[in-house]
Amino acid sequence: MSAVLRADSVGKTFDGRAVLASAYFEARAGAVTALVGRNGTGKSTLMKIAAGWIRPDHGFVELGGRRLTGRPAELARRGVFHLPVDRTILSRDFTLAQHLDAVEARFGGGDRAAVLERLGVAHLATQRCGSLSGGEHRRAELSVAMVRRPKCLLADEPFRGLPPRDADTVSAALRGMAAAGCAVVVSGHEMGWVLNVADEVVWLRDGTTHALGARDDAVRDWRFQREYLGKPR
Amino acid sequence: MGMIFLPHFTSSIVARSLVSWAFVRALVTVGSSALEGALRLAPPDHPLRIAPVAVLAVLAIVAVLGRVSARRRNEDLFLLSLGYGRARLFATMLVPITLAELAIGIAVRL
Repeated sequence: MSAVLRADSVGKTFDGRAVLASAYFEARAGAVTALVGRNGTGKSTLMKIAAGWIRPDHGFVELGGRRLTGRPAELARRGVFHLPVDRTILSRDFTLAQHLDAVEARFGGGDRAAVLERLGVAHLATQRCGSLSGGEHRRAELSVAMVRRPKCLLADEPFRGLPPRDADTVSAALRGMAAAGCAVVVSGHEMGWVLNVADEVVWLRDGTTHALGARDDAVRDWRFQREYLGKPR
Repeated sequence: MGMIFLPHFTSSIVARSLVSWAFVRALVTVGSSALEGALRLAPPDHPLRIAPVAVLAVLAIVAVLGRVSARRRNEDLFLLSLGYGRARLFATMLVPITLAELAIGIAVRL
C-alpha cells in the first residue's frame, strides 16, 4: 500500500506550549490508520496540519510526493478531505442535497443514492443541515465525503457521540472507502470502534508519533496498554 | 483568481454580498454628503458619487461582513473542502459589487 499523504517532522507550538515536536505519519491507499492519544496530544492539530488548515512551525506535508504544506485549497482540490471535530463542514442554511449538488458540480457525480442509503440519511437529504441532530450531522458529513470520493479522508473523532448502531454504520462506511482505495485516517477515544476499523495504529505521545503497527500489535504493546488503554500489565 | 460557480452557494453568497453592499453604500453615501455639508464643501455633482477612497472602504466593509457571514454559516469550511480558498470566496463576494460600483461610476458620468 503506497503512502498517499505524508506529514513529516511536524512541529507546532501554541502560546509557548509545544503540542507537536516531531510528528510523522502516512496515510496509505486502501488502509485505515488510527491516530490515537490522550487529550491535548495534538491529534486534531496533526490532522489540520495534514489537511493544510494549520501551517506547522516546522516539517512538511506531501500529497502524492508533492509538497503542499499549509495549502488547504490545493490539498482539497487534489483529493484530501478533512472532517474536523470542532466545526462542521455543512452549512446550516443548505440541505444535504444542496451540498451534494455542489460536490457533484465540482468533482463530478458520485453514487449519491447508494451513499445516502448506506449511511441512512436519504430521508434527511431535503432538510436543512442546521436542523439535523449530532449523529445525523456526522453521517451527513460523511456522505458528502463519500460522494466526493477523496484520495485521503481525515476524519477527526468520527465516532464521538454516536450510538452503537450509527457507529456501526460509520465504521462500515469508512471500511468501504478504504476498500475503494481511499487512504483513511481516523482519530478518537472510542477504542472499540477505532481499533475495530483500523488497519494500523499510530500513537501520539509527548509531541511525537509512535507507529504501533497493526491493530493486534498495538493492543499488545505494554506501554500503550499502560499509558493509554489503562489496562493492567 | 476567479469566482466560485456552484449551484445554490454562489447565488447565496452573491445575494448576501449585494444586500450588504446596498446597505453599506447607502450609509456611506448619506454619511459623505452629511460630512460635506458639515464641512461646507462643494456638494458632488451627483448624489450617488462618493470619493474613491470611500468606494474602497465600502468594498473592504462588505468583504469583512461577507467573511464573517460565511464563517458563521460554515460555508467557508465547505467551500474549502471543495478546494476553494479565501481568495476565491472574496472574489465571489467582491466581483459583483465592483461591477455595481463601476455601473454607478458610469451612470453618474452620463
